[in-house]
Amino acid sequence: MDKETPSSQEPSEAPGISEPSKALPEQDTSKSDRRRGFLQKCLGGLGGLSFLLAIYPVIRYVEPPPEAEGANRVEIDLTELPPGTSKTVIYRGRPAVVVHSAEGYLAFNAVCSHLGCIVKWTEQDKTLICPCHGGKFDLRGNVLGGPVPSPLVSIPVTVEVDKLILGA
Amino acid sequence: MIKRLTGGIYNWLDDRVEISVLVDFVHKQMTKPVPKHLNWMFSFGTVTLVFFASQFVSGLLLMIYYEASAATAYDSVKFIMEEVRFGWLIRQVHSYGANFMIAFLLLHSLRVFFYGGYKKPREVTWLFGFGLLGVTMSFGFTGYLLPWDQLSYWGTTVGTEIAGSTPFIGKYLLIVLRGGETISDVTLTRFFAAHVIVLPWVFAMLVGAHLFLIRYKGISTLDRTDVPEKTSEELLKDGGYPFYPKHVLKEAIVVLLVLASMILLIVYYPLPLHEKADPFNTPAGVKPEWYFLSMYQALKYMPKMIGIIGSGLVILALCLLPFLDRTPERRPSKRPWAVSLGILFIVVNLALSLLAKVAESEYTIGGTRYHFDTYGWPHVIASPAEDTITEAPESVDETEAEE
Repeated sequence: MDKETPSSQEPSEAPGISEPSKALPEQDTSKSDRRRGFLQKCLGGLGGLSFLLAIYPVIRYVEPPPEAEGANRVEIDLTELPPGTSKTVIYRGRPAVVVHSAEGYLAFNAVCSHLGCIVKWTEQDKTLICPCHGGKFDLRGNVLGGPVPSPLVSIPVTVEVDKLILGA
Repeated sequence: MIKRLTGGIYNWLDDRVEISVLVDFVHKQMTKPVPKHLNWMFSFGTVTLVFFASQFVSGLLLMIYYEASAATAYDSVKFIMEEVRFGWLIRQVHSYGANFMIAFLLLHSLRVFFYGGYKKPREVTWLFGFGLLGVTMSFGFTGYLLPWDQLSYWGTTVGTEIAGSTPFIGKYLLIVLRGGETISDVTLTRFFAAHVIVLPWVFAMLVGAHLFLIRYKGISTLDRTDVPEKTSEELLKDGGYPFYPKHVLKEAIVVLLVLASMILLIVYYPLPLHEKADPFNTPAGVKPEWYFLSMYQALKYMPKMIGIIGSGLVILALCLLPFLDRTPERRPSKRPWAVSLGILFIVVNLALSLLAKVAESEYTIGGTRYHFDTYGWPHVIASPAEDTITEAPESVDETEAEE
């Protein structure tokens, strides 16, 4: 790449890099090497620490901020949920299905525990069905059939005058 | 154990992709001798490069949350600063980093000028460097609008207006830059595209060429240009030393000190986000960023056309400097005319920037209150009241307070 002879650029021939150690007796050389090794390790440690300090804010930054996780409390007008119907809303950033069944108001995390599709309420069977792979859940969220590994997580609901409240 | 493992991985890679060629190349570059006269000022280029890397990373991170539209840009920046964890830090690193990058690029250019580094055979390196200066300033100009606050909106209005004064093509240039008659959603989108896609690519290519040439031709000595360039052996005999570790250590110290200063500024003087841009309400005393202030102020003292042509000629002369100044001397002490001109250039720019800074503001100096008019000339408006120099609130802040 340049016109200099390679031999001239070897560190061993360059002043300031290893000439001092050449001039030292053997025992001093090993002492000097040990000291050099120790300093190099210290420098490496400091570099690693600095890197960790710099990367920490970056990792925290890319994590979604608390607000992006969604509301902890969702209100639904009761007129929107006549008996035998269901409604899907976003609760804590994830879809939740609210059902007005004969047993009252029930709410579940609508994400199927199999592969993440959204379950749907079917009034005829009184079951929640996953349209992707046929997972089936009862009104307690328990698995009735299909390749589903675990039940649906229920969400607490309360009725306040004319509103249904999901969560706290 | 670790040594054996890394050695094994190295040998495995070397067998397949001849990694030793790359290692030898890097080793050769690291140990290549540099001239003995290198001092702390020869670190400014590296500092600029470090800031570019920092801008690249912080810019990528900002893009995760930033939304480039007039309706959402301001709120998304506010969200980054107030809601996202460490969002304030990332945004401040990017905003301050832009200023530091331009400042060190200017200092690096001055260093190259005073040490005659632009002379034969490094004319092309200078040209690429000059291109980098232009691209960096364009980065600053396009990025300034993105937060979409009052200062950025009106600062960009003034800035594009200057570009619009260019003879013959001014009107066309203005419309193309803004994407219409005024700064709008369209302007924001095209500035964003330029800032995050076009300019980074151009910058990367220019910086690649610039760095290649620096390594290829080596750092300039102070010898005359009509004397053959020194070989590595000659440099070493003449008191030069390998790039690593001595010069790298010097650069590392400067880089760390500058980064530490930036962190201090971020913590104690964070750059504010002003009120959201209001296209129907111009705040008083709108000014462009500090690196455009001297040009902005110069244009006030002369007809627009003459000012623009004059500024254009100065920029052209700086670009073509290696071809205009063909004298063989590099030592500053042997170039009295060039050094005097350089100092004059710095003084004039600093004076114009200062005048622009104080223009259309009020200050109390020695107990007397002054109003500085648009040309930067002071007018007494009140008798002694305070003993010290105190700065009046920023015009934009005043407007915001009133709102």
